[in-house]
Amino acid sequence: MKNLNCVVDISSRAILTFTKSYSCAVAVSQGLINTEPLIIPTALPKVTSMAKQFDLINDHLASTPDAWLTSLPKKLITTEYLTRRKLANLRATYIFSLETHLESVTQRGNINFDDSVMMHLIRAHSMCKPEEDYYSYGVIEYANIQNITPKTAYQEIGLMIESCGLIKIRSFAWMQTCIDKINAVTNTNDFVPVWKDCWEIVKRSAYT
Amino acid sequence: MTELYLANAQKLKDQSNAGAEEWLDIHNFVNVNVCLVDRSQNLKLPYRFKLYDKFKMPRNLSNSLSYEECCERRATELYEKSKQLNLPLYVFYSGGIDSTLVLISLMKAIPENDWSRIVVVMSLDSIREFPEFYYKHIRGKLEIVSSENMSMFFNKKCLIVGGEHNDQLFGTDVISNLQSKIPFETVFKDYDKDTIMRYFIEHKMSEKSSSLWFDIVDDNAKKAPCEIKSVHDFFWWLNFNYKWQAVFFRMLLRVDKQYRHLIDQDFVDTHFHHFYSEEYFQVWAMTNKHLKIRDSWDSYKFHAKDLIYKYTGHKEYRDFKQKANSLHKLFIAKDTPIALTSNYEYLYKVDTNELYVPENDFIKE
Repeated sequence: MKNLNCVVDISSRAILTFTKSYSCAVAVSQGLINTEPLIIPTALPKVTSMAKQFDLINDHLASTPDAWLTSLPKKLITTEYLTRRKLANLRATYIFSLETHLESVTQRGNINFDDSVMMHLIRAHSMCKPEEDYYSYGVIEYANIQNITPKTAYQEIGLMIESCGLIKIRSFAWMQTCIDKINAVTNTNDFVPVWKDCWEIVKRSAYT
Repeated sequence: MTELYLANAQKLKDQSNAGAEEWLDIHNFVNVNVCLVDRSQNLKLPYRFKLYDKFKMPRNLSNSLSYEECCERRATELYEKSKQLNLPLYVFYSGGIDSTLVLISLMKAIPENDWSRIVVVMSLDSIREFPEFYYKHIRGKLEIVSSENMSMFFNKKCLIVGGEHNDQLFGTDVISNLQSKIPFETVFKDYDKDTIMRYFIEHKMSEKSSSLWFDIVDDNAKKAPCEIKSVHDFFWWLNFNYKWQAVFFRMLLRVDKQYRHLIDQDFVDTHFHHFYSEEYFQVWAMTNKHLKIRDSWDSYKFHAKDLIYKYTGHKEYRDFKQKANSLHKLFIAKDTPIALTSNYEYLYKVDTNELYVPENDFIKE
């Protein structure tokens, strides 16, 4: 079983929603006062067998201090809790949907290698002074192995950084815009027009 | 009085304006991001669009150059302009057929020791689309810059060279809609109302507007300076006559806010060039319909691909390369205004009533 991502009320420890990604939990938590995102380590066998006792969709649950699951005491199942839970669930659904759609945009910014190389490329690139014909060791290494000039390597690496970086920054910016809109909805009836707005943004970004 | 060069058709939807809905319906078939404008000036549109002077339909079809000669001439003209103004050529390169041929034409026209005036504006997608061309002909030979922030090149410090209008010369982007829907042999048959209407309706146009648009294009085609006879001709004409202007201006519509103040007629005349826009290309397209498609859908733009093959020797690209939609990646996530006026004002809102032309040709009993 994978780890469970959720949003927890920090005072009652009530779990308001489970989300499909941790970033979604962070986004939902941003919009709900007195909450925090949390990971329940259900990837661990002991925790898995504990978690399987519960119906994650219908049961009212809470997290324990050591991030296990337990039933939420009945006295804490208040109207306020139920309202927040409903809101959290709806927001999580919409936000995860956005995340998934925008992934197709974000993935365009991936190169054919582990993403972690990007920070090294950025560093190597930024240390160059092409106007003085000075290139950093990283860029020279790339050039030598690729059998191209350092100048060409510098341009090519620059293209990758710019392409990947701008794509990801755009996705991030669009995501923040949409998260803010969704988190501003307090009445569950108001989700539809807000979602329509966000969908326009997604369409423009991902499916022009 | 406001006149438009280009607008997003969807944003002009207003059922209270008679004729507007029928005019807009064609955009289910063509594309909702553009508006069709009649270069032959036979049609009264329901909204006030101005035909860009340079785009009047050519009437003199004599002295047609070959396609290769058109490419050579255009490349030479751009090179001369670059030298005259002492400005580099920033060539938007996607890796697709059109922009690859633009680059090849320029590299042939410009001596190798002057290739430094060519700057290739590209992205990682450009490499993915035609890797062999990048590694063999661009890398290490031409300067490259990222196209992700394309607006920064609209700064009057270079000559922008795009690859637009080749699709209109060949008819590709409209014809390609039909690929999955009609048997190939149909394209060479004489067009008739039933056949054309069927394709319109399949693209969710209403029967009324399908009939109306057929009559409009058919009437226009009969007055065309070139023969419009087959199904292929009909859809090519629809693209070539009506979509031309929108295609020219759509890149300008996507320029970021901080550069828009630089976009004026002088900018367009001096700094903004689409390689395939010139009249001699259009005359070629109007007098050489047999050179657009051969014996299969894959043969589209075979002529352009043959020229690429002549330079690169890349057989697979010539034989199998199909059109990929590359422009949308350039325009992705752009905060795009709704319309561009003939004074180069960018509009986020339009007053459809103010733009409306009551005596338009889309009002029928």
